[in-house]
Amino acid sequence: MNFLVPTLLVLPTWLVLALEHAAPAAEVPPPGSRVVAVDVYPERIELGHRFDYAQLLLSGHLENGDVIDVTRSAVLTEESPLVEISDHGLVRPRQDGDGRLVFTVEGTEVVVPVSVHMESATFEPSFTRDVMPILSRAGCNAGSCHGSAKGRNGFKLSLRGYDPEFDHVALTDDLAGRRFNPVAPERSLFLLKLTAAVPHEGGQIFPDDSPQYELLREWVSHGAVLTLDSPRVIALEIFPKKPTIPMPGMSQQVAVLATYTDGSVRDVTAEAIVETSSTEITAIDDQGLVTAIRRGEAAILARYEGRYAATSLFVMGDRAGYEWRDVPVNNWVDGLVHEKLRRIQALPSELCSDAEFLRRVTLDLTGQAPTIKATETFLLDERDSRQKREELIERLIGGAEFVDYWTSKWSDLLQVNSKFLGHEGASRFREWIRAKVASNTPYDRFAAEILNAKGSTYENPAAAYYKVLRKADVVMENTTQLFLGTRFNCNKCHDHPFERWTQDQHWQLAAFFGRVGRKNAEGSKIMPGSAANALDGPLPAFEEIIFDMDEGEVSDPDTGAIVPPVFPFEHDGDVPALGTRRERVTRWITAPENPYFARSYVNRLWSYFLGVGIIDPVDDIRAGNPPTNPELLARLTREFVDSGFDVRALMRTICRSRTYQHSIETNVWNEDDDVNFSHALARRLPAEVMFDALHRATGSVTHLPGVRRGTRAGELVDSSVKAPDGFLDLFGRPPRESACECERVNSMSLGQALNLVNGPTLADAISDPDNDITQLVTFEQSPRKIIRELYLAFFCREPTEEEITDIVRTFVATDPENRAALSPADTAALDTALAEWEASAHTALWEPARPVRAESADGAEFTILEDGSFKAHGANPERDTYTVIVETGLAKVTGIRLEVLSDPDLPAQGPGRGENGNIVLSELEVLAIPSEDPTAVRPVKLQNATADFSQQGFPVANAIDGKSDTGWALSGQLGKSHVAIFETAVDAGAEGGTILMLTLDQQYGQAHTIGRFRISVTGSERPVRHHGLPNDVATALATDTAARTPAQEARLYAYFIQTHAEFADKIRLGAAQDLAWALANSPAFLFNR
Amino acid sequence: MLVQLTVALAVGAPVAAGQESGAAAREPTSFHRDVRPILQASCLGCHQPARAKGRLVLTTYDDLMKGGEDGASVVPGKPDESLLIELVTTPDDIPPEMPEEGDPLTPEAVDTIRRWIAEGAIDDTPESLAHPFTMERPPVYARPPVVSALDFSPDGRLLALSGFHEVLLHRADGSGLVGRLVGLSERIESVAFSPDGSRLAVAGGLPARMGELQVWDVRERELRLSLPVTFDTIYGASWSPDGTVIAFGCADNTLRAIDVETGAEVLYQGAHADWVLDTAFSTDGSHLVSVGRDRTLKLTKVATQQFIDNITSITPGALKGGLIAVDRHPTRDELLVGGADGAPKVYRMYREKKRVIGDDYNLIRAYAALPGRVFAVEWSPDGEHFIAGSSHAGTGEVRVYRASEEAPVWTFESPRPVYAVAFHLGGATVAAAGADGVVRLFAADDGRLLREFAAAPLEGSTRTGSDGRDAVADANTNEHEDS
Repeated sequence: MNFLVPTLLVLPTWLVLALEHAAPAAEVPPPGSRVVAVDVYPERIELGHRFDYAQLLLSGHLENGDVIDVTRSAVLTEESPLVEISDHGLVRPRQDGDGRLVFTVEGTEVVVPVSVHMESATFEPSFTRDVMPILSRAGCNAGSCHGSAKGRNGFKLSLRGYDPEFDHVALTDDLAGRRFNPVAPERSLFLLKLTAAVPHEGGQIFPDDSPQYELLREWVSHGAVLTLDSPRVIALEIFPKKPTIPMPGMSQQVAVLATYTDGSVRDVTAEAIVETSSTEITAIDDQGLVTAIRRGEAAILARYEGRYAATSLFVMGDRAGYEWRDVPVNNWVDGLVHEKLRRIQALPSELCSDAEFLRRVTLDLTGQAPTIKATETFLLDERDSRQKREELIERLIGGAEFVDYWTSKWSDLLQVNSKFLGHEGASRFREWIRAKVASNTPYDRFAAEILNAKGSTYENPAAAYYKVLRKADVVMENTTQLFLGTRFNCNKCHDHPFERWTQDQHWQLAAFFGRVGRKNAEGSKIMPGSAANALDGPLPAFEEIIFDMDEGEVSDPDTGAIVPPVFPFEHDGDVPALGTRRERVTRWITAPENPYFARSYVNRLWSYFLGVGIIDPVDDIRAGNPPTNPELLARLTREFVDSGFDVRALMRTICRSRTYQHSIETNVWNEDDDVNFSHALARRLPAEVMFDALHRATGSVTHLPGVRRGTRAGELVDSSVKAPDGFLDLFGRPPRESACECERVNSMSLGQALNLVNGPTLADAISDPDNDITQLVTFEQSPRKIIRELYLAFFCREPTEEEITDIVRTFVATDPENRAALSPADTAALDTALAEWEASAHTALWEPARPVRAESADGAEFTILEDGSFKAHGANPERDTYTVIVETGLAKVTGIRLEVLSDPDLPAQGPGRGENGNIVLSELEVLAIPSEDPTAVRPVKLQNATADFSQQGFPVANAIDGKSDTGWALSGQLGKSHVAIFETAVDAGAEGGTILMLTLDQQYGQAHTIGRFRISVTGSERPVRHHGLPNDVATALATDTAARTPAQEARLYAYFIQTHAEFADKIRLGAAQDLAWALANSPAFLFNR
Repeated sequence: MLVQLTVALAVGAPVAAGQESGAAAREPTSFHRDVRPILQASCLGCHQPARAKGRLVLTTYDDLMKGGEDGASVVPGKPDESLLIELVTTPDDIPPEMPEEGDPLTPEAVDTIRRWIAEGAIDDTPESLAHPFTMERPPVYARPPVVSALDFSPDGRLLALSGFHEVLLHRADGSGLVGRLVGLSERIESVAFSPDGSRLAVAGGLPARMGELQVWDVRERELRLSLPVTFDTIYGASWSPDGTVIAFGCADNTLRAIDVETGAEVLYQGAHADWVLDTAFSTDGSHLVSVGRDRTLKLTKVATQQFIDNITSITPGALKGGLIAVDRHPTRDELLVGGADGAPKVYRMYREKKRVIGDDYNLIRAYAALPGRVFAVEWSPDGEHFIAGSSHAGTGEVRVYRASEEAPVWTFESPRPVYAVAFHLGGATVAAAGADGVVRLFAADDGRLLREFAAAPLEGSTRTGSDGRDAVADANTNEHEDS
């Protein structure tokens, strides 16, 4: 997931070049196809005055059903004196008469009758109808030029021409009429500027032989009068409707027609402003020619005189090999989605897995991730997948977490914010919302209860809506955005730049909220520092009474005139003019017939579940932002209204659809689609959801400041409760200061990535000693099981065998690499302990004594083996005493080691000769005889006997206690070799070598005699003792640090870890925590997919 | 040819190209018709008098031939040695050096310039365009001009008012046109008789190209001084009381004054932040005040050219819109101003108290607002009354106020905006004119309309004026009938 790198848009060079040159390329059909029929639009051309024109559109039908624009490739076979035709196919009059235009398109002849009658009617240019559109089209009144708030170079026009009277004054009256000249119209400054005949920073807008220039000059010649009573545009249409461009690089000309208040229709293509919603998909030149850049869908928007029209345009691209494949449908949602996918030649993705579905739907419906138990139950449920999915949906909807989650969502939109309401007020408002969500209050009633709310904000918390929103215009803007999904704030100061809404309508609609009264409840205090803003002063943060007043008007900020309440549009619903203004506007807003109310909410909900609205952004519904699937939106809306505004029913419908259950995996036929719901979209978990999911997965109990332990982020009353590291705000929790969906930010930022890597929220949850990970590692030894549990907790799915194999090795405590899992403190502790252990386990360096002879007191015989050991055989008496002669070159002997060895020839593998393999060494005595002086026999006193193992009650010390009825035995660890070490009390031995004579007295009986043994000696410094170490470990330890092989080092480390459980446990815990951290930082966790 | 070309394009491009070159071969290339529009479309944004990048101006033939800091742009007859060609072309596909902004010149455009240079770089600019009107060949009006300035002569006999390329001298009672002072300036922003009446100061120019101050000998109808100044029209000429200095405001935000005899600049002051639209001297001539689009009334000391004070409040929002007109009381240092908020106000010129943030201490009185913007104000000769004219939404008003009362004495609702007003020196008559080119004389005491007359003589008034070009062309042919 490459979420940190912004997508850079780079236009292909050929396209940039193509756009820079005015003459557009003519379309040729793709190789192998042929034009079989041609449509012409308009069917006949009638031009009634000098400035009249008509945009010609010729559409060629190919054999395969595709339609291409052949306007520019059609060949005019007969020249007509009546008209001239631009390279874009715009037809302008030249002389009066009736005639025809004959084109051929690849042999197909097309005839367009033409009738030009310029002289019959006098044409007088009108400022509003003719002049303003030219100025708008030229960009004179654009925000970047003279339409900016301060104008440009002293000349200011209204932004995009919303105020013709102002513009007329600017052109004709500013500086005593400086900009026009009635005496010599062509000397008018504004005309000289437009043609750059005088220096003009904007350059030459058009030359002085253009029709636009002619028209403006004509207008000045007629006195440059303002004609406000000219017919105004009431509707705009763009042609062709919903065109498809077959391949990138091909183009489509559009035509724009305006209908006027007097019923007349004019071609306004040359003055309309045509734009695309996506410059990645299409480019548009200044004459309405759309060129396809890549496959995809774009809205083509035409703007003319405050009216808008839009059509969707699809660039098909190379779809060779595409074939629609019937896919099962779960409900009508899928049918409507599939229809669209078929049209754009895409295929839906496969169904997502049960595990994916479980996580997705649980997060979407409850804002919480499924628990391990829920995951296991769902995955183990072997019933039909669809059946269990539907059951799951049913179980989640309406549950406690569901209610919390949707309460929070509405609390966001309704600005449940203690800054405005005080803590008590915010809590009560939230509780009110919760009750409504819990009872599945029909959406229209919910909205109406808020909009009509009166009384105390404590007794009827819905009234808090008017406590937060304190001015009529603010209430209106918020309400339209929230409940109608429409922005009514741009047109506060000027007519809406992208929509039909006017400034008048803003204030007229605001007037409905002009009589909302607010007063302090008795005893209500002002909370200090609770100011919404410096100008309004502190808000009464506690209880307030909302009521309807008998008067209260909204006045136009420019004129000061009182504005009456008028709806910005009428709909078919019955809205009797009864009751308070608020009651009237509430009925109007929430009526089923209101084309925005139900539709905007349906779209909003859809976007919550699918990641993108059918109209997106969801609260900016307008002509320029058309739905990607209007049929789907219409049906959803209808079903919602018909269900009585049942929100849960709508959620059910969406969640049950196959569309909602698409896999996130794309196929070659939908990989470039992200707006038609052909596959699931990864959606980053919202801040609170992520916070809660982290805590649920780690099992760490939340402790947010100021609320009880364990409170989920999804339960918080408002954003005044903050995670200490700012986690929630960093991850885009809305501050609840407006109703805009845009307040919640679900994008990924560097700061967030860093917080996850380094920040305390995740680190604390994972390292919490009381969390589930600690428990798991303590009680579960198997790394496989630990890994599986963590996968279930974080990803809500089983790990794959590959994943397990990969991760298991990180749990091997004895692998020195896995030390990395320890905390720095633990690493240091381990290093110290290891060093201490190495020092304390100082080991003597043994060398074998050369075996000379061994004798049995009771008839056993001995063989000396290659490894220097003696092996007993032959007679096997109950008791015995061995006398063993060995020789060593050591002059100084500080210790003697007796190894009793396991051997396959011995019963039970030894080391004893008896049935069970045990031995009892009753007493060991040693005599030392210098090799060079055999007479100087000395007894060697032994002390500090140690052994790698001693049987309970038979400690090795018994072998030198001088008692023959006690001894060293090995029951419990039979069948393997053991070792006993005896320190000499004083140095034994002599220069020139020493013969040692050992007496091994074995009086226990039952043939508990030694089957095979070896004697070694050491001259190492005392203490000489056994540390319980395996021989290889002991050897490694005895080796100089510098001389150790890597294998020896590894063996030592491994042995140390094995024998120091506290470190082994820490390493395993560390491995589990590291895994948890990696899982938490994975897109599979951070995103709902 | 363009018509042919567009049709040809629809029929097929190759044919069109052939036709074009065929047509071009027959005729010599014209600077005025062919080359100038190319320069106009692609070069003038940067190479114009107000900007002149590389010290090169390309607005006229003379400018082009003069060249810039890199030398001559054009070597007649030798396109390959001409800097102009070098800069707009490149041997390969990299963009040429010029134009710095915008698209490169099309190959056809470069070819046109190249041919024109090869053919000798001849100037064929029509003389009529360089100097379209003269005293001998005055303009002809098919439609009335907008009157933006008028003034009565001190002797009470003449009324001077602005026309197109000229100042028209009418008899003060409106009984006839007695003189036409035709000059270079197309637009006249201000006319002012000298205190002794012998001279007339005329401020104006060619909008967005040049400003000009003219000083006329009234009796001889002779232009005594024509001073080009700045690159846009200049405004608000006023005479010093001793008649030796004329002050005026400029579109480069400066306030300037010149010596009447020599034309030498004696004052230059840049304290305004926007265009300076009107000026007035103090009674003793030691100070100068100016108003402008920056909403301020500023006081300047003449001797030192120093900005002294903002006379109006400087609190943001205290004044709405710009100030357009100022007139000093005939005997006292009190200033009558009018502007975008419509309310005439009187200020004392000199501050007597230290400025405090937010004060408007120098304001003596504000009067009932006229609808729209006040474009002109003038005191009566005795200083007891004043007149103001305004424009609002295509109409206007003329009002006379008593200095001591907020409400006007009388109001005339004008069918069209009023841009210029004046008090006759006798004090009994006032004049007003504006967008409709009609001069109206009123009785100063009660506003009775005494007389209405056209500011300029109308020719062919029956014409619809559907083609303004013809109107001016006719002006040239009808010249003698008019005098």
